Amino acid sequence: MVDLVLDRLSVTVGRSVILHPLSVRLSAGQLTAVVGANGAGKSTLLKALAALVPSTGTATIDANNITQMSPSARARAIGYLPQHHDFAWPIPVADMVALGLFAFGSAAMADQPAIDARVKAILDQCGIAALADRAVNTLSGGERALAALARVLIADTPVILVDEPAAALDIGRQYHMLEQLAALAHSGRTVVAVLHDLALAAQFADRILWLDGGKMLALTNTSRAAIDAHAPMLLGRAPLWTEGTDTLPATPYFAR
Amino acid sequence: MTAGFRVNAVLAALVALCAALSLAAGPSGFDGRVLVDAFAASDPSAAIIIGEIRLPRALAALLTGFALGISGAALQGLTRNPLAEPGVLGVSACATLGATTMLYFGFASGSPLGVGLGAIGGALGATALLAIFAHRLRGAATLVLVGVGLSSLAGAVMALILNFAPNPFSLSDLVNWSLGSVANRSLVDVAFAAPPILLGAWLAWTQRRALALLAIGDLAAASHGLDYRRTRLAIIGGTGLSVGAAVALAGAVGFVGIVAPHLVRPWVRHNPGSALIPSGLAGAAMLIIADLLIRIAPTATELRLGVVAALVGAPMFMVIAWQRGVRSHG
Repeated sequence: MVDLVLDRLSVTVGRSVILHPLSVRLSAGQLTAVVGANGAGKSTLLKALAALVPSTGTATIDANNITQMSPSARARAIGYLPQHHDFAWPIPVADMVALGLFAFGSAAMADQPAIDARVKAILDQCGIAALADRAVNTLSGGERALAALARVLIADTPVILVDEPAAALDIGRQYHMLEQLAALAHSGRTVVAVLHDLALAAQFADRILWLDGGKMLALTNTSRAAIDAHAPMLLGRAPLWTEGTDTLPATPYFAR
Repeated sequence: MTAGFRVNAVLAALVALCAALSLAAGPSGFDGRVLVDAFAASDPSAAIIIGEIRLPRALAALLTGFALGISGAALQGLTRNPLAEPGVLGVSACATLGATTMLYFGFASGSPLGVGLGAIGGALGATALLAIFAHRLRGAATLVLVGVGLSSLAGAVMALILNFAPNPFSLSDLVNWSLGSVANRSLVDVAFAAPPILLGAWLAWTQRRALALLAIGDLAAASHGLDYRRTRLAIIGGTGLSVGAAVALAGAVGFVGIVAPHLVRPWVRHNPGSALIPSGLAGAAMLIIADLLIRIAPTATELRLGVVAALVGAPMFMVIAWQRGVRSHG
């Protein structure tokens, strides 16, 4: 169980501050949804947490500053699912997923039967066992996202960062994806997901980190009161709740 | 026995077969007896023909093909671009420029060491420049355009040097370097080229897992623990050493680095790391065969190795480019 502790973490590109100094503790055992408008700094926050962009301030896990860990030690601790999936060669899905074990060294990669079994289990878990032998460049957008998620999950990291995991998925798979992420969090991992769909965030996340213009507005629970208080900055108006319930309908959030 | 090992074993056997054919081939057709006589030391003239003429030539073709094949695969893996290749990207041209500079200003004074150092220096400079461009630029075509520019620039500077060089020289020297040949090489030339080529190939091979990981993109690869700077440095150094030494040995032979990886990739499940050694072996077999064809072809003057390689490789380059265009627009 490792918390992710941010202390005045900020990202500056050229002269513009993309992420203003942010101090917060993201707890293990919870799924934290990062919510905000386009350009709010959500993806940059995740990249900074994976040490993929230069940042100032610190982010620590287990008292280790993530920027001072070796690349492989960091990769064994933090899994990161990027927003875009860019495959250069037509390698089979199963081989691509096995690349997620890179940080464990060539010795760990030598036991081919064990790796095959692990890949198969992860593909099953992600619901794409049938795609194992397909070339990655022939996959649809949603299938790519699931295959890339399998590659992240196979490393079994205590921290998992996912950037808009549901964006390219059909509705059934959006639910399946969020159920998996919530289950991973509740088994003790620290899961941080950038989400655009407030209904998904409200239903599956434990907490919501509201970002606006590169600044954290608040870290709240997913209660109706919290969402009513912060959603207007995203929607421009108050969200519409399903009548007589405390649930948001998938769409629309508000009355026309 | 793993699948990768099987592919390497089959290709190594093919290289050995091609080399044997090359050693047995002479002006009067294929003659296996010369080979037997030479190795049994029963006929001194056979030993001279094989040892002094045919063996250095076959080894030079083998080493050059191996260097270009493995360098092509390594550059393609690093830049994530199937059109990357030492010839197309201008690495060979810069190596040629380095070699001729040393030659014409008398630094080399006929020693293969000076020429080799010049060629390796040129190749290293070009690969370093390309690696920087590849990291900053998006899109496969852009990098190829940079390579075209680099090639043209190297060619122009070479022509300029020819004009200003204090030593006597001829246009035919320029042609020799630009078109490539393994004729009239000695075992000393081969011995000078072999260590940097093998060292460069080893450097690239140490990055085989990193090259495989790069298939998923720079950002995702970094999140899985790739040390991109280290990988880039090893590939730049490795291809610079290999291609530089190959150019010093045989001049600029194009397109081997594009054809060899393209042929072997389906056998290694398109894994850019597993493609390294098979690409080198396929490149070696290709150049031995090309040189064999040159020797037995009934032409008035001997064809250049680079001409034969380009006749096969250039159309293939265009086919790969066309397929990519169709895929990205389809």
